Amino acid sequence: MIDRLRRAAFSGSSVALVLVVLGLLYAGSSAYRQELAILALTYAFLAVGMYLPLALTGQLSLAYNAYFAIGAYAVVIWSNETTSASLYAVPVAVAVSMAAALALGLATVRLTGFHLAVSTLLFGIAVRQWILSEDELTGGVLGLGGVRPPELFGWVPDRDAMVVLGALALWTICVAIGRARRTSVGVALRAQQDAPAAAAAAGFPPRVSSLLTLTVGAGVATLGGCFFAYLNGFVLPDSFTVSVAFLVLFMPVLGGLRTPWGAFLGAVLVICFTEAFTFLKGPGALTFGALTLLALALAPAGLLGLLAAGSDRIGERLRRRRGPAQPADHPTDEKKVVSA
Amino acid sequence: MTALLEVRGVTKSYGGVEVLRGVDLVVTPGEIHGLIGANGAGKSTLIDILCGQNRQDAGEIVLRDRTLTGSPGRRSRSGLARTFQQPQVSAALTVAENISLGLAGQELAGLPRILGRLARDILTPHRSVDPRVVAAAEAVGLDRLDRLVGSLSFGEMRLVEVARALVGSPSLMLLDEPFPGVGDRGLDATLAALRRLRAAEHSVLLVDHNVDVVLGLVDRVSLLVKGVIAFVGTPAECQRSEVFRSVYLGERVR
Ligand SMILES: Nc1ncnc2c1ncn2[C@@H]1O[C@H](COP(=O)(O)OP(=O)(O)O)[C@@H](O)[C@H]1O
Ligand SMILES: [Mg+2]
Repeated sequence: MIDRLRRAAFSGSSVALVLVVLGLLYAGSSAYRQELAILALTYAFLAVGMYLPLALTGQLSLAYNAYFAIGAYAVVIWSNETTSASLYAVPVAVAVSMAAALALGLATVRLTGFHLAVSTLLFGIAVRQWILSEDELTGGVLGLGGVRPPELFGWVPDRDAMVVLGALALWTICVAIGRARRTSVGVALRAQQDAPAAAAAAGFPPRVSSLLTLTVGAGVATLGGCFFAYLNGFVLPDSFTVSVAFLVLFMPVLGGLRTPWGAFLGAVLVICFTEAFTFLKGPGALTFGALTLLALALAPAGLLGLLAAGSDRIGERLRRRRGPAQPADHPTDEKKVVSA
Repeated sequence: MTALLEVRGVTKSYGGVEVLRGVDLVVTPGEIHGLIGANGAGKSTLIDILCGQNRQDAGEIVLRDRTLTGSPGRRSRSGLARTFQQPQVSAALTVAENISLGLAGQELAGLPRILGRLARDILTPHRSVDPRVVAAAEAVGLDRLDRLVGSLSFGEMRLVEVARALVGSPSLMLLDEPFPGVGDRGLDATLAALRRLRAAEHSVLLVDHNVDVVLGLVDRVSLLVKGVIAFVGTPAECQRSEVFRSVYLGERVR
């Protein structure tokens, strides 16, 4: 009982809840701070999208600025070029991104390491070039405004409601991914990294698994782009440079690859260090880089991994105080399947 | 006696070197069949070909009167399960998760079923381990299924592999040198599990170097020499066979 409470208290979802509450308190009524909070939530979508291939099947895709851009530009272009409900842009954007990710994966010789990193990086660059050159459609360097707010069954949510809805959507996605990891499909996907032949015998050849996580990851990241466009009302091409992909890469790694919540935590931290902590402004990126290296040296399993280990140590101590009568269970891994 | 598995004239060469030169092999239902041969004789290559992880240059594989083709996943669903000489286990997964992979092979086929199963498991996550997984682990003498496989000894990883192959109750189980490193307890548990499989009319193709263990367990044994099966017979016939004794003794001396 106490163990379960302790594990719940130290779990990724509780950490995320605390972060959301802190974020809301921090943002308050300051427009600038609200923007940062929105940016953090946007990046959290991207980070969770990157988490999928990175943590489940071990793929490093760097096309995340492109998926981000597809989501944002789909919303703004849909708003300007069509008269149908603005919200329809979301499924269209997700479908376009997923199709692009699938095509990119199919066209890439090997879905690992260098090959994948290069092809996705090039795709990210190409999408940005396309945005800049198609100024009729995208507004080019000047960007494009005129986003129509989404409408849900006749209700038009205001900014605050949209933030809450965005957070809820991300929450649902994280819960779903966290659960999916432990399903038979999730297990087969994760086995791909160090037991590819066994995964293939289970009906999941490495290429199929990789395409699956790359494609779904692209879809999740695209939602971040849609969210971003709805909340800002306009888009600028500078938000979608390749550096976005590198920034996003830190997030799941820093937060911890064990659960998707790590990506969420990482996104908030990265925004804090690169944008919010104004006292770090000048050396911000540098400080952030150094801190990341330090964090990875001290906590190779990410911050959530560190937290889980700390929680286990507390549990161990409590157990010892209660006496040795308790049979030792093994809380060392929170993704474990609880034995019958 | 109808055959469960029939291997007909399978050949395989690597860059001009012929490793398998027309292998013929028959495994009958309820039989534990030993496959022995020197290091590099092509035993693992043959198992890879049977399971679809490698492709033969020529020849045919027939399982229950149907030609066996297609991906490893498809062959799992036709009732094949295997272990690997170099254990193929995932260090980041628990013992239970690794074993359950053997069930995924049989139960997850086709995108609709995969997505349906995924959606169901996400909406109603089950927190307890599948009883078949628990039974398979017990059968090979593994406990504490929530351990990460990365923390296990090499021998225990072997047992995880055997359990993963056992869990779906395959009609033909292919074991590639499953015994080195597993210890006496693991060996006894595995042997007992294999005998139970046989009692249930399932078959086993067992590759191992330890000829004494193999002869003590199997119903028949095939000897792979220079890319062909040089001898097939019961353990008793082995003792009397000129070919077998010369090769087996030759190997022992070497
Ligand atoms: N992928 C490969 N490329 C080239 N040669 C190979 C390959 N796999 C196996 N071989 C060769 O095929 C022969 C048979 O190997 P293997 O099937 O592993 O033998 P066994 O399992 O009987 O010890 C060996 O000589 C090995 O060097
Ligand atoms: Mg071998």
